[in-house]
Amino acid sequence: MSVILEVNKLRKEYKDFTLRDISFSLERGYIMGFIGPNGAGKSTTIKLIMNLLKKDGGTVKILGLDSVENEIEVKERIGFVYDQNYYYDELTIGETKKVIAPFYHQWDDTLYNKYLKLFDLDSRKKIKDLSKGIQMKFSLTMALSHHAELLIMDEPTSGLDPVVRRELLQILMDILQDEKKGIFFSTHITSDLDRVADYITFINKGEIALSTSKDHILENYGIVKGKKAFLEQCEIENLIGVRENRFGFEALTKDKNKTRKLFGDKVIIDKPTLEDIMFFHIDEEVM
Amino acid sequence: MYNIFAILVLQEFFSSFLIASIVTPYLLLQTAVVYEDMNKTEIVLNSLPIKKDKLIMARYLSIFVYLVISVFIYISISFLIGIIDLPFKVESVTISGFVVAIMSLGILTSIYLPVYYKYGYIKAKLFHILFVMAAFFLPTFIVEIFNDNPDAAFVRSVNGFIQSISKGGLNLILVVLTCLIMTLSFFLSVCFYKKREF
Repeated sequence: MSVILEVNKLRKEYKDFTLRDISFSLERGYIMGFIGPNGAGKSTTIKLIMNLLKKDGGTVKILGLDSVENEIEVKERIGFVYDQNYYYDELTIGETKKVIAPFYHQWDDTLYNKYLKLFDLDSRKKIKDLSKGIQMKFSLTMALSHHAELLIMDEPTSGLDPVVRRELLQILMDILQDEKKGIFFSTHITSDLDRVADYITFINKGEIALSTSKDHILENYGIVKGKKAFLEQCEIENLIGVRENRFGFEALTKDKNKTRKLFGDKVIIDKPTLEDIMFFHIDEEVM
Repeated sequence: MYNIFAILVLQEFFSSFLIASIVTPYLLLQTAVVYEDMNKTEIVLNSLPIKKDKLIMARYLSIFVYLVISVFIYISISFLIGIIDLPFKVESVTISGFVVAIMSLGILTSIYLPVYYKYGYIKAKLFHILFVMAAFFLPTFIVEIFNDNPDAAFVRSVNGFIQSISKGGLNLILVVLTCLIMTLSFFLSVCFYKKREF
């Protein structure tokens, strides 16, 4: 089974916000970054995948199984890391492990001790006495100690300093060395995804703006900068988030080769970062 | 600590055993609920591979674990007071008292937990005062109704029934009744909790 996570036309309606037709898939051995601005629907999507919210439409399949009908079997095989600690903070690491481990048939104490040592965690310390970075490492330890095949993470690096963030991201890359696992993590820190993600899904205002491989983005997307006159003269396709000022315009193109053919040397086409892509999409001015 | 307080201070006003066996377990249940609310642990619990009805069942059964612990502590304190020969009268533990404790706790829990599972801790707290007052005053109120209306048909039939069965039989009926009430409450809680979102 190659596809580890498949979300199809997921929908959730609230009074003032709707998650609409969310569709993407992730294969084993890859990391998918789920980016979007604050309030875009990242956490809502993850909660729907984890069955913490009831969906109004669509399907979620994890490891080929429906996430609602096969809820227990699915949860046995996935690990989760949320943006903050939700374990009992009065318990120690060791006590928390004694509470959580029996829930998983595949719990592996050898694996648990390995990560405990790797992350330098002290079992005697209370959860509330741990720093945010150590709490995140502890959550990751719990998520990885039962041979989880899919790791779902909701903004795991938010609030962490750059050193700890980089350390955590390196750990994620190491986890994927055996190419049997998949990692799905949401973030609004695009530099994290620049570093580790294979696939990017960008969500904005409850809708998927793009879902593709990072390589595809780097090969095809570009920031176009040029004189305003070009916008008026030509029919422009594939331009996103056009921004005009006194001197000219800049926009994001989904097909820089096509744009280059259209404009030739009259425009500059720069390589975008993921942050640029998010920035241009947010404006929603599509020509 | 609350059991010690009940024996040393409250025994003049209330049955110290009933306080130790009803109030203490109920407070322990509330403490567990508060900790879960503070840490939002429901998010983790509902992410684990366990069905919601098992989580709820564990909560219902936990009240009896708290009861056993509380009664054990109460007996230990009474024993110590007896050995040290302190000038406090300690109410002894009886089977009837224990049955009343099970019934009261069972009814309290059966009312509180569905409200908690439907509305969450904060809103359920509003009902909390009513529950505690009901636990204290309702039994006395019911007994007064019975004493003031000895000739009422219902009172006579209940009194007749109680007198016709043995004490052991009555205790058994009360325990079975409590279990039935708790079972109904459990299914209601499951129904509410399955619809909750986190």
